[in-house]
Amino acid sequence: MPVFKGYLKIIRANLGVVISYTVIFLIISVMITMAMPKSRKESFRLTKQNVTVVDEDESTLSRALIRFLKTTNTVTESAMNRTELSRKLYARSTEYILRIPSGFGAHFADGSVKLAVTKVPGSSAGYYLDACISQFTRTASAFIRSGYTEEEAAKRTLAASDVSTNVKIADMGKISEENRTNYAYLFGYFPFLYLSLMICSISYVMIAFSDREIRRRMAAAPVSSTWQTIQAVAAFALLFLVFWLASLLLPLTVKGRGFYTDPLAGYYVLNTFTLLIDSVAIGFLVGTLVHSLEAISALANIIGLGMCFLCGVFVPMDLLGKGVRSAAQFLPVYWYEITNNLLAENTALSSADRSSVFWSAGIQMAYALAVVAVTLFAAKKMRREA
Amino acid sequence: MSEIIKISNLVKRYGDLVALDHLNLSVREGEIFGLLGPNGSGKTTAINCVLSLLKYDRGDISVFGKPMTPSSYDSKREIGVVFQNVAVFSQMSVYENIDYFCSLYVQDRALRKQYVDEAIEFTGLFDCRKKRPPQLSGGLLRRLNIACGIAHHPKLIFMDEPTVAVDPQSRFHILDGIRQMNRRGSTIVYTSHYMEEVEQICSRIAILDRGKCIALGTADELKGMIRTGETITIEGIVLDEEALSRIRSFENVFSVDYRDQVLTLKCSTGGNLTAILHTLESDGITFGRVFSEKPTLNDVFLEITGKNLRD
Repeated sequence: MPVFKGYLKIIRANLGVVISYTVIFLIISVMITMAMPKSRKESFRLTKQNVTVVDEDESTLSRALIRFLKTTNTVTESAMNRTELSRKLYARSTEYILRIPSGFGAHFADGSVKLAVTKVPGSSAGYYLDACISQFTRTASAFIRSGYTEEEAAKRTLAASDVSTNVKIADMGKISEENRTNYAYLFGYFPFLYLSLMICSISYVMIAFSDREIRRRMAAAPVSSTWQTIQAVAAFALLFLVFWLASLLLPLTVKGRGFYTDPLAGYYVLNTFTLLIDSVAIGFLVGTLVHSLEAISALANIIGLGMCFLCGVFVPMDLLGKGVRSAAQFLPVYWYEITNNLLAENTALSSADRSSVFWSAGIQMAYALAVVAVTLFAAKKMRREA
Repeated sequence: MSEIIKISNLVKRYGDLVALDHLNLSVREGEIFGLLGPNGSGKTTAINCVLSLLKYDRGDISVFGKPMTPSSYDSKREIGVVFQNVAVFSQMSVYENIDYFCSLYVQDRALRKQYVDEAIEFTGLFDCRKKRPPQLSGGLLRRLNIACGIAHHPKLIFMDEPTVAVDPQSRFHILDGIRQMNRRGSTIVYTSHYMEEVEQICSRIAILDRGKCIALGTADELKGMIRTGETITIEGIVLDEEALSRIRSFENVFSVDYRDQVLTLKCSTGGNLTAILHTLESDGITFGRVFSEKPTLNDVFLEITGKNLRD
């Protein structure tokens, strides 16, 4: 198999580029993966606003209002003067200053004594606390107008605000385990690695062997062109296999062996297989059309990065415009990402999910066939013109 | 000697252009056969047809007594080719290149190693066997091109202008190597438009022009075909019409060319120089340098076609 060995030698000569691409990919993807929140649970944090209250009224209703605010905020009662409080607000050690003037409780029903508020203009905390105070005054006012005493109205208003219930969020197989998302992120970036490396490796070999003088020397040798083609295909198949299996070891870097026991691992493997087939087909097309080694590296980056940006590898798909998403549907990476996102969000697949996975795989395979057909047509045309 | 290549009535057209026009040639076993002709005369096309790298329109080609087709692998196994342009992989080292092309012919690993080592020694590439082609000079690259074509010990070697753009030292090395290969038993078909090279190493020469063989034979036989026996050139001479007429009347002189104080005389036989110089001295005509040259293959080509080989 001399031709087979020749192909491998050329591939080996390009190993430096392959290794550098892989190392860069690994460093970037692992860094991004580590920087991501470990689970969606951890991405929610309870926050409380710092509120300063100056209670000059000391009435039942003013105390009730303070208690009401304390249920959702950190309330500090203060006797500071206006200047000191303004400084506190300026330093953002408080976000809202509420002064309850004397007579607030006594004149609550007619509303003649207004609450004095100092806040950061336009701040969300300000709007939120305005809404809270408004809720309290409207509720208490309703109770008083209904004939309740101040004490009863205060008690009932506080009770009404304390309506809580235990809520259970239905899982429905959706991912929430912290250990699931790590390699989903990693697999999300595979298109860049696959496209860049396959374009570089395959084009590099094809350009070497498609040199006119080399082809003449090969044609003069006692090896039939069919046998030469078979050996070339075998070399590319070996490249495919080695690269594919090696890429499936990459999840070890972010999650140890966890990936290999994942019930969805098979779907991830299928998805990478179809994407790699597409990358190989694109590599063949580039190798057929381009004859300059210098142009290959640039093209690999343009195609790899271009497809990745268009198809939501680096930017979440939800953030892409409708037009971009429509255009991206004509690219295999889009369908790869659709499947990858589906797998990342689920612990088990429903039959509809499985259909979606196989549909995406089918589209990717069809894309590969189309690219191969274009490549063969282009190669034939170029041979004729030569 | 048996015929190792026989080309009969070969016609190859590129559209309206007739590259080979009913070419007839035969190459004998053990000879260095020269194909001489200007650029575009059909030398490379003829070789490509013999190697079945090109389809031809008419004619027959047999190599080693068998018709040559693209699938004549037994014949191809015994053929080595050194193409005009360097055909090596820039990604492989010198050793790997020779080994790769040799492996297309020789499967046995031990034998192949021996052959590759021999080819490296033969072409003087030992010191740069680990280098890659982009690191080699033009001359060394040509030697590598030759090593890749001959490493498998072929019986028949085609060398298509192997010394184009090569420095004199490498050229000498290459020509010496061709003689050695021939002594080792290889038949060599050597194409060039450098007539001195062809004359120097080839036992028989075919001169091609416009796809036809216009002359065939040894160098002496070819020179014997033309009228010129000697060319005398006298520089720095001032002649009037009367003196020129006297020179024209010399017995063996059939062509007189005088321009820019340089006199060129074509004589049908040799040994005319003394008589001419004696006449000039007796007429009191002074002159500078004097050359007397035997006819070259360029003279042969010039007389047959009316143009120079390098036109």
